Amino acid sequence: MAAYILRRVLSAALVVVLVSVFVFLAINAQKGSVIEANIAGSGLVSPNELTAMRHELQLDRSPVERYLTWWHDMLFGCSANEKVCYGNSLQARGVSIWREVADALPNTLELLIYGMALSLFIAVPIGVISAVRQDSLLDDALRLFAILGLAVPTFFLGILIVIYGSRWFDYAPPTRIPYIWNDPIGNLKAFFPPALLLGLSLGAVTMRMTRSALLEVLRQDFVRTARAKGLRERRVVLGHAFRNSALPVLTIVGNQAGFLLGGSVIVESIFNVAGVGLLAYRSISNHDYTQVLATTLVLTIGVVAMNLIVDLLYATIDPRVRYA
Amino acid sequence: MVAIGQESVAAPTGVALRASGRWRRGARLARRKRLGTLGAVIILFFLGVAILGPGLRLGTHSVLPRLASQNPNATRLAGKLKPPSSTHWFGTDQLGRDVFTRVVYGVRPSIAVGFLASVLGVGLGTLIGLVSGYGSRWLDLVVQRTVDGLMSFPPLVLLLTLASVFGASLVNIAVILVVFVAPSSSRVIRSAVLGFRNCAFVEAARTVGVPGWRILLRHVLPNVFAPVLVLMSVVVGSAILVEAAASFLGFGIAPPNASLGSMLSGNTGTAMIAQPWMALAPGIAISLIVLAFNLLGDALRDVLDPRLRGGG
Repeated sequence: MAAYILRRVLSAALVVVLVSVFVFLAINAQKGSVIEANIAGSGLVSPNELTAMRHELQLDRSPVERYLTWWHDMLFGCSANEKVCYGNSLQARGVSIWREVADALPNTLELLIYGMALSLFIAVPIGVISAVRQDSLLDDALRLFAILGLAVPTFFLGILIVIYGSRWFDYAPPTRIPYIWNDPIGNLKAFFPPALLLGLSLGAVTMRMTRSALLEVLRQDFVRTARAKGLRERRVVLGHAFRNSALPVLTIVGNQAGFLLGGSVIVESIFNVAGVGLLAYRSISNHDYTQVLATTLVLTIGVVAMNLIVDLLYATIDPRVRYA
Repeated sequence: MVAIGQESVAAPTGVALRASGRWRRGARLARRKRLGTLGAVIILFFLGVAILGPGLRLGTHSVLPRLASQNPNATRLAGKLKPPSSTHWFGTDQLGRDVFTRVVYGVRPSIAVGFLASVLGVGLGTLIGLVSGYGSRWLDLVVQRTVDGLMSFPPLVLLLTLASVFGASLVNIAVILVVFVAPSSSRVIRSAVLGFRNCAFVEAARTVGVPGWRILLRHVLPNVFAPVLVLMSVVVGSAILVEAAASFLGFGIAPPNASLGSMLSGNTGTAMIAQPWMALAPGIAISLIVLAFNLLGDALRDVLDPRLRGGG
C-alpha cells in the first residue's frame, strides 16, 4: 500500500511539472506580455520606459531561463540581488503569488464544501427514492428533474437566481464576502445562493448515478436473501444495498470535487466570490505568467490529490479492492 | 427481434409490398422510446431553425431565404429593454436588438461547434481507444498513462489559455474542445474493445493471418459502433454547454455576432433584471437543445446496449 501511494505521488509530481510546462508555453504564446496587457496600449508610456520595465520584470530573458528561474525561486526563495522576485505577481507588484492564492483558496474551499454537501443532501435521498420506486410516477418526475438539471447550463441557472432573487427578494450578490472567522452569519448568508446553484447542478448528475448504482445492486442475489430472511425493506435498502452502491457514487463525487477545486469560474463570477477560479481567469487575461503558474500548480495538485484520496477511500470502503 | 422477424414473415405479401419492414420497425421503436423520439424531434426543429433562420448564402446568391426577418445586430437604443411584443417576440436587449432574431442566429454556431467537437473528439477518441485496447500491453500502458495525464489538466486553465492564445473562432473552440473530449471517450471505447478482443471471430481472423489494422477496421469497429454513437450524441450536449460557458466568460464567439452563451453574459449587468426575457430566451434555447441531445443519447443507449452485452 505504501509503495502504491509513493508511485502515485511520483506520477503526480510528473503530471504537475508537465502541466506547468504546458501552461507556461501557452502563456508565452499569448500575444504580448503583462505589460502590453495593461498599459502599453494606452500610448502614455514611452518606448524607453517600456524597455526598462521589461528588463526590470526580466521579460527580456529567454523563456527557458524564465521558467527555470521561476522554479528555482519557488523552491529556494529569491536571491537577494534580484529586483523582482518570481514569487511575486507580475501584475500586482509586490504581492506574493502565494498570498493571492492563499487569500482566494478559503473562498473556493467553502464553495466546494457547501456545494457538495448540498448536492449530496439533495441528490442521494432523491436517488434512493427514485430507485426504490422505480418506474412509478414519482420516479418519472424525479428523473425529469435530474435530466433538466443536466441540460440547463450552470450560468443560466445562476443568472436566473440573480434575476428573480432581485425581483422577488431584493437580493443582490455582495461585493465582498467576509471570511467565516470574521463574520460567520454574513459568510453563510452570502454563500447560500451559489451553494444552492452548485447543489442543484451537481445534484442532478449525482442523483442519476445513485439511482442507477442502487438499481443494479437491488437486482443482486444477496438483496434477495436479505428480503427472504425477513428483514424490513428499509433495512435491506439502507443498510445493505445502499452501502454496496457507494463506489460509483464516490467516483462521481470525487470527480466533481476535483473539478470544483479548479474553481468554478462561472459561479464565482456571477456571485462575486473571490476564489481561485476568478484568480486564474484574471491572471490569464493579464498574461501574468507567474500568477498563472502558481494557480495552476495549486489546482493540479488539488485534482491529483483528490483522485488519490478517492482511490484510497475505495480501498477502505470495499475490502475487495487491493492495490499492489 | 425474433418477434419482429416472425411478423414480417407472417404478413401477407400484399401488405409487405406496401411498407418495407424497416419503416415498420422504425415506427415501432419510435413509439416505444417516446422520450428519445421527443429528443430527436426537438433536434430536428432546432436544426431547421439553424439552417432556415439565417438562411443560406453562397457569395451574394441566397440559396435559402431567411425566415427571421430582422437584423440581429441592428441596435436601436431608443427601443432598448422592451418586453415581448408583436414586433419583437422576445423583446429587445440593452442595445435595442431584437432578442428573437439573435436567438435564431445564435443557434447556428452553438450547434455547429457541438457537432464538430463531438464528431472530431469522439472520432479521435475512438481511434486512440481502438489502438490502445487492441494493441500490445506496453502500448496500452503508455497510451493510458498519457490519457490519464491529459485528464489531470485543470480544464478551466487549459480552455482559457488556449482560447486566449489561438483566438476564439468557431473552429478554434471546437478544436480546443476535442482536447477535452478525446481522452475520456478513448477510455470508454477502450473498455468496449477490451470486451471484444478475445472473441471467437477475432481470434479466428487472427489465426487466418488478417493483419491487425484490418481486424480493427472490419471486425472490432462495427461492434464498437454502439457506444460510439451514444457517446457522440451525449458529447454534443456537453460540448454545447462548454462553448456557451466559454462565450459567457468572453472567450467564445466574439460579439457583436449573436451567440447563445454571450447573450447571457454577465457584463450586461442589471439590464437583465429589468427585462428577464433577454436571459430567458437564449437560456431556454440552450437548455432545450442540450436536453434533446441527452434524451436522444439515453434512448440510443437503451436500444443499443443490450445488444452490446450479447456480443462475442
